[in-house]
Amino acid sequence: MHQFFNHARNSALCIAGVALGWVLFFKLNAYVFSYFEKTEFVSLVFIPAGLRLVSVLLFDELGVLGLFFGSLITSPSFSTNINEAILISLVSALNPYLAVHITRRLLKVDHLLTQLSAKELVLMGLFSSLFNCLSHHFYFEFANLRASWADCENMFIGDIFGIGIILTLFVICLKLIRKCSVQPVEQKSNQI
Amino acid sequence: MANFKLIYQKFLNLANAVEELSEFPTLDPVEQKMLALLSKYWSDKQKITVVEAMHMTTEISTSTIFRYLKKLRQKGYIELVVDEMDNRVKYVSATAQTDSYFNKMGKLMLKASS
Repeated sequence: MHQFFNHARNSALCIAGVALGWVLFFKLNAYVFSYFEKTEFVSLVFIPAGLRLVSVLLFDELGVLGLFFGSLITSPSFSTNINEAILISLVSALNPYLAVHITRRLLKVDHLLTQLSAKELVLMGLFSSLFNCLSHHFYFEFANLRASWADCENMFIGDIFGIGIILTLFVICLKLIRKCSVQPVEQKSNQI
Repeated sequence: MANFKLIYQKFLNLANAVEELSEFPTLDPVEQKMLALLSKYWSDKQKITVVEAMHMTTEISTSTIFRYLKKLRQKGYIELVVDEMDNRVKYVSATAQTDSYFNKMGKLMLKASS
């Protein structure tokens, strides 16, 4: 029983973390890249797309749940049309999951990502962006919302840039962490 | 259910893949050894054929060397140049990526020694 609660707490933490991350990145994107915003759903730079890919790769279904709640909170139609907000959030959260699973199967990348290389990661990012823009486009058409191929194209470009920015930030963070963890050793050797 | 051990393992593998994007493709010890052996020929401005490369050391079997040559080619560290006179002869030659790799290694060695 205790173990179950422990697992449930950890899962809730993951979901809340991803949702919070999504909200933060979404707000940051709206603030920093407002110039590139084309419509309420489409931006030429969309950094949460990178978070979408990373969270699905790391947390699988929990990542999907976190993304769903995150995109539900940030949905522009949350207060006006809750059904539309739920559907768009579902499309937004399920997309990367399907894209990552299909790409993983095609590229024969295991669940633990041991065979994941830079090339495969780039392909996953591309496929995820393509999958995302196409499914959003078809959903907008199905829901009789304004949908054009130009928006679909912009969404694809925005996702690609977003994934690129997030992966670059990831690299910078890793380098900084490594630098910080090396420093005490250097200091120690100086002391000796 | 969340399993932080699995998530951490995935994070490490993802971090490795992400780092490959900005750095040179990672080399395992055998690949490093092969590059070091090949660099000896390249620095002497000698041309080395694939067959010669397969026999450049007795420490590694010819089939293993061939396999690793293919790997190094995939990673962009070597390229095969066809002989002008004989199409059957292919030379193993360094790429711009190899040059910058050796430059970076040299700088790191200098930094470490200073």
